[in-house]
Amino acid sequence: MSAPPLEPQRLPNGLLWLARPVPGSQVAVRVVYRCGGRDDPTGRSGLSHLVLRLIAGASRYLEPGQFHRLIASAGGRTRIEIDEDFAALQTVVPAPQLERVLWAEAERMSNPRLDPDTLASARQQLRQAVQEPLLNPYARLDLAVQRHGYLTHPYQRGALGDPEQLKDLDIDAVRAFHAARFGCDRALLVVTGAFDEGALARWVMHYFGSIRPPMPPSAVTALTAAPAVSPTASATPASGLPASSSSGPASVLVTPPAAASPASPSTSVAEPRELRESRRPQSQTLKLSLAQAPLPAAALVWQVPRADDPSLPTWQLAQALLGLGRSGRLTDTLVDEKALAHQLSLRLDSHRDAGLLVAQALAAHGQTAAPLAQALQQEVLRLADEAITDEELGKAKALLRRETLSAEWTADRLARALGTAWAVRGDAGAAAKDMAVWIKLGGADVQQFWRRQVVQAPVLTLLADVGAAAGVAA
Amino acid sequence: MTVDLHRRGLMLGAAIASGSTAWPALAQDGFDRPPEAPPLTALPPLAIEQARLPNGLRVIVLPMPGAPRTAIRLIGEGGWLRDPAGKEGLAEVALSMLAQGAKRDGDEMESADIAYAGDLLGLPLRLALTPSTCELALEALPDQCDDAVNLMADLTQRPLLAFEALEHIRSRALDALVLRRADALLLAPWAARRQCWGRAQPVQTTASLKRLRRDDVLGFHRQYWRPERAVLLFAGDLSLQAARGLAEDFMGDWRVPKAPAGPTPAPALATATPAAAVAQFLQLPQGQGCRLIVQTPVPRGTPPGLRELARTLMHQRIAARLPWPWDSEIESLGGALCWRMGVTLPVAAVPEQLARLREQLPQLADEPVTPEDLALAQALALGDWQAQLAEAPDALLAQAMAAGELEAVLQWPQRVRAISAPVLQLLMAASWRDNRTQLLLLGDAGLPAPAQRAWPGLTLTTMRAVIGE
Repeated sequence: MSAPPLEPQRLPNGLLWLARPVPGSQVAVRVVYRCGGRDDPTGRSGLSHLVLRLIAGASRYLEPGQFHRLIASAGGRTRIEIDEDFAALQTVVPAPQLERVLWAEAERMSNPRLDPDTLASARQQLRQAVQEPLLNPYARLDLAVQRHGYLTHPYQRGALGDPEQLKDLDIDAVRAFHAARFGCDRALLVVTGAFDEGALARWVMHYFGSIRPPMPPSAVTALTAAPAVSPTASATPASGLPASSSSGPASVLVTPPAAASPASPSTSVAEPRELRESRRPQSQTLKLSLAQAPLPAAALVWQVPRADDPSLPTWQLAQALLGLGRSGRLTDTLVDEKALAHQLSLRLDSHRDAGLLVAQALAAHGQTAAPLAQALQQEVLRLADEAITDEELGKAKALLRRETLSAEWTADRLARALGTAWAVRGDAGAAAKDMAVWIKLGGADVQQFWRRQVVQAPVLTLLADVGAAAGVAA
Repeated sequence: MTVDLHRRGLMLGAAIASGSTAWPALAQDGFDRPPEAPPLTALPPLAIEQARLPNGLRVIVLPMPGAPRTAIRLIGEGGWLRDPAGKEGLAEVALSMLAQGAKRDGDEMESADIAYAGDLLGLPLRLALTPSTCELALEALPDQCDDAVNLMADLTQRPLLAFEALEHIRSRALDALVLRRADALLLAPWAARRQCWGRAQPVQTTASLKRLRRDDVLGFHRQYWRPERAVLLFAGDLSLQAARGLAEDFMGDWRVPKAPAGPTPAPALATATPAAAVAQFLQLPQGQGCRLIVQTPVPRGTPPGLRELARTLMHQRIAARLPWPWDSEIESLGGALCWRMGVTLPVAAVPEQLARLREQLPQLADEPVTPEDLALAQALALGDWQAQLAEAPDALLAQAMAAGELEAVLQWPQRVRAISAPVLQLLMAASWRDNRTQLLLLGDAGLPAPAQRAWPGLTLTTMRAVIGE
């Protein structure tokens, strides 16, 4: 991304805001709270998700459904997103409707309706959102990647949450959590698209500047108890952006469902600390049985540093060499040449505190999980040894660059990219800095890095054979 | 920046004084209604430029001044509705084989070379199959458009279509078939089409894929990749002259086969009659919930703008009355139209939602269309059109061409504005009648009895009955 600088401005009440023009006829408004699945209290997995749904549901001056009608009548679309690191609400409308959307978002931010009725409705929505991905016959493998890929970090639980942990939650606990974590001083407002800068500044100050800042900490602690999640040793980043679904107004983007937490429930809303992930001490193999899945599958999981780590652009370039495009090394070898895999992916899940590099494959007909995993691992590790030509490097950089720059082409994409970079990487301008690093990186740099960070690192192997029960249930 | 400190100061004071927890501590006062809605902006129709090469190839350009990259699509007629009976899957296999090998200047390009060439442009080559069309899609920087068009020309004019490639693609297609049948979300559209259109709707089977021979692929390719039946579409910052130049350079010598193309086989769907009301439950053993689909036929020839307003309005109504994340579409298969709404439900919610749906569907369709309803549907239809233009204009145009509705999409704002409430009401009220509505449950909906009580007539069915094997 290019100039101007992407430093958000701070309103006196603590709210950050950022605006970037995008040619076209639309504007996007995104409100991001730096509170996600990682911040859920122990035993209350999904509380952030629940609060997000309450904020989106109704407010003092917006009856249930009224926000969506307002946006729909303007020809716009709206959605909510929950992630391990953040919760977000995003709306896209024709540009002349911008002021109305700002009013509505400010209203949702300042006056959400938190009462037993809206809580019951949000619980039901959350349950549905949790169950939808489970229709996929490989859902258990995705859950196992998250649950066992992280050793101690709350990222293990995912972002969607566990409806069972929320069923006895009372409204006071929800209010306390909302007051502590969803204040305007923990949020970023992003506006992108076709707007007049002067008018936007006035509107932001008028509608958002007048939102009351959160109560002082002493007032909040009166409503709260002990620390939220127990931090542990070491470091790493996390997940990719939420998997999608969306059509028309009021869709939701979500990450895969959470694993159940064994700990007892807490309504604690103490200020989140920096959370660290333990280092995996040694490689490990887990087997799981996917009785209803038609083809065996395998996943390999490596730990990756936190999203603001300076090495992240090198991880991205290596991932592009192996997994991006139709000619990425993994597809080229395992799908086209050896026909071992029906399909595969290599994804870099970057999060605030820790992350994962996940190579996942479905076996081609007649193959089993173990040889597939072995071949997959060989291909991933081979990046350290087999020379990377300048042309191959150039191709990977072209794919990455296009992917990054395309975020600037529409108001919708740019708002999402900026808000996510701020919440996950602590820097809305992180993408531009990544691109500057890629330019300087050579093939030898990537290989040397790969030897150190992946070849010598412990790996988690998940083997999912179909039908018969197989070993340890993940 | 001007800051209204006085007002904010008053509010801070009020917040501290009240200390109430009944409302959140952040409560904001004095903003009890939104600002006045601005008048809707009149949108102009979409302007495209067109030319035709001597060999019949149609070149279409959607000018987008300032666009950093150009989207390019080469569109042929070999969609999956053209699958011959007993050889379902041929269109998909024939398209996939284009990326498995081709000749350039007499030298063979393998699949890896082709993949590499696409990736070098920054976005991988995409192969898309719709009911009526097959497409190659690339995207390039302005100075790389020649590479993109050159690659498309190689793949469609000089494909190898080798026997080994057929075996590889067939094997992948068989795996994909197995995956589709195990996943309610993937299976749903195919099962729903079968339910609506019966055997007239082609569906791949293991047997039909195994029956494919290389000669079938060669014949299919010859029949449907012909310059006079293809369209080269550009969306980007280039002129028609530049686009035509690219087309002439790389596709000008694409010869029209001596043998006439003959009439395109009329898809069986063109004359098919939709099935009567039926309710089926296909159990899949995931145990985590089910996919619910309701669908109703729409009269052939219903204009796309009218269809979209009806779909949009019904979507709003059902989402308000049965608050689940519904999706909806009105699908056109060779002119045969089916209006479909779907939702994924947890097992426990199925009986109650089925009962409510059965009661609500006709009521929702019968509700009068008020001026506010019409305005809402029009705003949404126009907003979606703008959003698609911003996100993927080439996909919007390609989709319109595939459905034979390009003119309607170009004139979308005017067509949508011209629809009146009574006409919309007529379509809404004629749809979703008890004797026309079909229901399909896929997955785990619990024991059949509660669902059958909620929707009388619901019967269990099997994969063999739905798909044919």
